[in-house]
Amino acid sequence: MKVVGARLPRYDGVGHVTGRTTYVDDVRVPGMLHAAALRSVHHNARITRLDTGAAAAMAGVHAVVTHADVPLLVYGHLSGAGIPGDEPLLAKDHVRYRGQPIALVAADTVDIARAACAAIEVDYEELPALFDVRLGFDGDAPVINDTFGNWYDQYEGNLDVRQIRKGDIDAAMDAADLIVSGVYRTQSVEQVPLETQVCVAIPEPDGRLTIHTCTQAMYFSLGVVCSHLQLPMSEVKMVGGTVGGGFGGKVDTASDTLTALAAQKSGQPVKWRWTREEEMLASGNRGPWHMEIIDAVTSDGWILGRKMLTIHDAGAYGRFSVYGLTKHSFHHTGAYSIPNLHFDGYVVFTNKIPTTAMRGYGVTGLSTAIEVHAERVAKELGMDPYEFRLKNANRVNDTSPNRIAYEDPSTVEVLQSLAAATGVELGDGLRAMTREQRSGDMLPDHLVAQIGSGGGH
Amino acid sequence: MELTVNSVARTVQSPPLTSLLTVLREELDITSPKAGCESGGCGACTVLVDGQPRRSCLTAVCAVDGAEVTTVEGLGTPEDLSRVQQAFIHHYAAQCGFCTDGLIVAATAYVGGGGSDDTGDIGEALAGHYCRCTGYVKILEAVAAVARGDTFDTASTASSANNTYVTIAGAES
Amino acid sequence: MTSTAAVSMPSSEAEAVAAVTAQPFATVLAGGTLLVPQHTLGQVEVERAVWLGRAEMDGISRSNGRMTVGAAAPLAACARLDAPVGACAADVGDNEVKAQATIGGNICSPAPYGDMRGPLLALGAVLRWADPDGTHTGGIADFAASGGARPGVLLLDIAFAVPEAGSFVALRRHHTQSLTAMSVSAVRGADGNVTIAATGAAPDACRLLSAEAVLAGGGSIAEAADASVADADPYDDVLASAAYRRRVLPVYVGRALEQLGE
Ligand SMILES: Cc1cc2nc3c(=O)[nH]c(=O)nc-3n(C[C@H](O)[C@H](O)[C@H](O)COP(=O)(O)OP(=O)(O)OC[C@H]3O[C@@H](n4cnc5c(N)ncnc54)[C@H](O)[C@@H]3O)c2cc1C
Ligand code: FES
Ligand code: FES
Repeated sequence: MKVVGARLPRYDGVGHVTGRTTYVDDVRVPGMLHAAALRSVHHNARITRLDTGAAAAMAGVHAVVTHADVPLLVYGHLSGAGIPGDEPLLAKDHVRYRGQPIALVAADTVDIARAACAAIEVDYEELPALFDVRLGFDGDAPVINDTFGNWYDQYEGNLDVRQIRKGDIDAAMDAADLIVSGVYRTQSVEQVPLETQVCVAIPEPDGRLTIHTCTQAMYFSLGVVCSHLQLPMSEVKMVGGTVGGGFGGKVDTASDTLTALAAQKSGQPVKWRWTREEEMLASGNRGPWHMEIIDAVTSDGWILGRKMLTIHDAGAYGRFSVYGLTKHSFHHTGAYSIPNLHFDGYVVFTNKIPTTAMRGYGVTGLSTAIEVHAERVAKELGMDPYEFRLKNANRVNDTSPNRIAYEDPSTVEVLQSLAAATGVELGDGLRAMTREQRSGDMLPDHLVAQIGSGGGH
Repeated sequence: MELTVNSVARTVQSPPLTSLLTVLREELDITSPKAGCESGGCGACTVLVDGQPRRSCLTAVCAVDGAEVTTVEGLGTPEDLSRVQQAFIHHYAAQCGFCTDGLIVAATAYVGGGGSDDTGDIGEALAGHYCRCTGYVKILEAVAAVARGDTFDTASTASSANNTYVTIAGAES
Repeated sequence: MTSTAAVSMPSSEAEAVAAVTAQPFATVLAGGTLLVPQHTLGQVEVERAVWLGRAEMDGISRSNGRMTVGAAAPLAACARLDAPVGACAADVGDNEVKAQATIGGNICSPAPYGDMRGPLLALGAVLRWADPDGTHTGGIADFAASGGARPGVLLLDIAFAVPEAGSFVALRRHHTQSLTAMSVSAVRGADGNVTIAATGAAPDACRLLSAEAVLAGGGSIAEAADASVADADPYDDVLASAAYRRRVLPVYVGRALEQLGE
């Protein structure tokens, strides 16, 4: 065992501390052009005219890329999982969020590229915009997404809702001593990597493309680029792995495809680095989640059942949101064991930046809701919140909402450590608890059915 | 305009209002100062100007004509790392590394100016520097270790067993 | 826009005035903490610039109970003065920004920047500025009314009577880089009168005359704080909503007055 348990230095440490690490923005290529994007100034508008003539004619401008240049304009991030694409790489006749890219200009300098963007003529017909997921279901709400309508409607079984049904929620509600409900809404969060989105794309003499990418997901991004460009993967070489922070926000392949198109069209290497303002305005962020929880509990602190409604604000397009919601549904009991579940979740579209992954996709906001709710339930019961949590905490062979038996749940130890680290004295009974499979006092009747079933029930 | 960059005399052709960051990166191809925001908010572009930490993105190159500019490349090489550089490796204070160059420059000025190993003082001195990866604790520990006069083994990573939770002034509950 | 604008570097105030007011009018470059990024990102066009770094306009002096601060004095130096000026300057950005940014540049920066306008308004500071018509003096409001900072105008210095006591409180998130959503400066002059000014209560810095009147009439801090809302013109921006501004203004007025020892 030379590695496990050893205190190894970072393999890239010396490069990082001496300024030698080459990030995408540090790649130097002779003859490199610089790109800038024209982005929508409206939240929701029809594009009635797009004229790039004046911009293309400017001295120093080498390529103006619009929707017409993209071989496959619409490709979905989850196409590989059978979820239809809905988002054009560049807006064609409709912009659905402020900051949506409409054109990319490659020019000798970034200043010329910006000036050329300003010279592109766009006429918009502004439309009413929708920002509140709760209004998306209204009959008179503006229609946000051409492909799906106002919420995603193509789950398995032709459902327009992600559902989980486990046990018997009605029986749980009937048997409850107390029902505690709460509504929790978390806000959107930008990942703010210190390195903004950046790409360098180089057309090689043999016709291939080399792409220096800041992606977090190399092979995924290769697939996205090749799909839009309709190129076999053998024609594109992606160079990456050195990412100046991503935190989920660099999964979306936000800059590679367009930079590659500009390199193809101009025949020259092109760099596109987003400004910090663009990063904040237009890069995918963690979306807001609207969560309603109703728990059926007993007076001695067991959670018999949970009914939950989640509305996920996807922004204007689907991207990974269906995946995020699915993960969310699998985790909607948090670190606790609840045998009777009724979960409905919707991915709803609004005229905001399409949302994406960030550190615990679909789960972080949920954890906030679950833990705040747990605190409230304990308070309503007049029970020590540690006792309430430790009782219900996942044990070996308890099953998750999607019926996976936990092999090594650590909730009990985490709670005990948390108490120790914060100076909370737990009683002997709580200190003695372990993650071991439920038995005795820790196995009340309502939990018997799920133990050992290993995914049954 | 003339600059001495990392002890080498350089003549600069860029227009006088060009930011020092752009001059270093695009004209002189010195890429350790990073363009994290280009508006003063992140600290990734920090360099030493006549020994003082300074945001190169906020500095017009004409304002440093004749000055001595030091970037992290000028503080140490892979073969001959400065103590701050060693500490950042040993204490795992760099993750993605994008903030690291600016932080090492600022930390070098801090300890060079006799800064203490008090994490409150260090936090104040480095307050303009964002790091989105580390959570700052290891950066504060690395700088404190330099200020304390520790020696560093860059072939291993420091144990976190004795880590203290760092409290940022004003953020106490 | 990385323009090729020429930058002149005068070595005295008189040279600076001449350079700024010559045709075509020049844009003043002080610390550059706002101008340089705006220029890099193509948000401002500069035809010609004058850098103040060598114009010896950064002095801070005190005589006969009056403080005179050169427009090019860095905020780091201003931070060593007594409240409210010192406390306000200390609150702007981090050490690196404070070392570079100047008080004149701050006064000339549009909201949500320009925190220094609050304490200077409370102090009744007198600004001295030059334009092609000559040299002028006036308060913060007069400078703004004259058109404020623009090419061809050079703020020279700021003078104010050193108060008996001063206080400064600010509403901002706990990070050096966060901007100030609201601040309240209070000053007790040699005559015992209290003057109060706020930033973030209205789109620009404003005096809180109603609160001052309550104090002058013998009212309590709480009464003065409540009265301050009448002077506000709360607005929504990214830092705070109008409703929130209206709600917290009295709280901050109360704190500033308590700090002042009213
Ligand atoms: C990271 C960061 C944090 C900040 N935080 C704050 C904050 O908390 N509160 C706050 O108020 N501000 C804040 N600012 C803004 C900062 O205060 C101002 O940028 C600074 O004070 C401007 O001074 P300067 O000398 O750098 O001005 P410059 O950038 O040189 O100039 C700014 C503007 O003023 C004009 N100007 C400058 N001096 C004169 C003069 N003498 N006469 C006429 N015109 C002049 C310039 O032409 C230009 O239009 C922050 C800035 C940064 C980068
Ligand atoms: S790039 Fe200069 S502070 Fe962010
Ligand atoms: S190490 Fe990634 S931002 Fe600091």
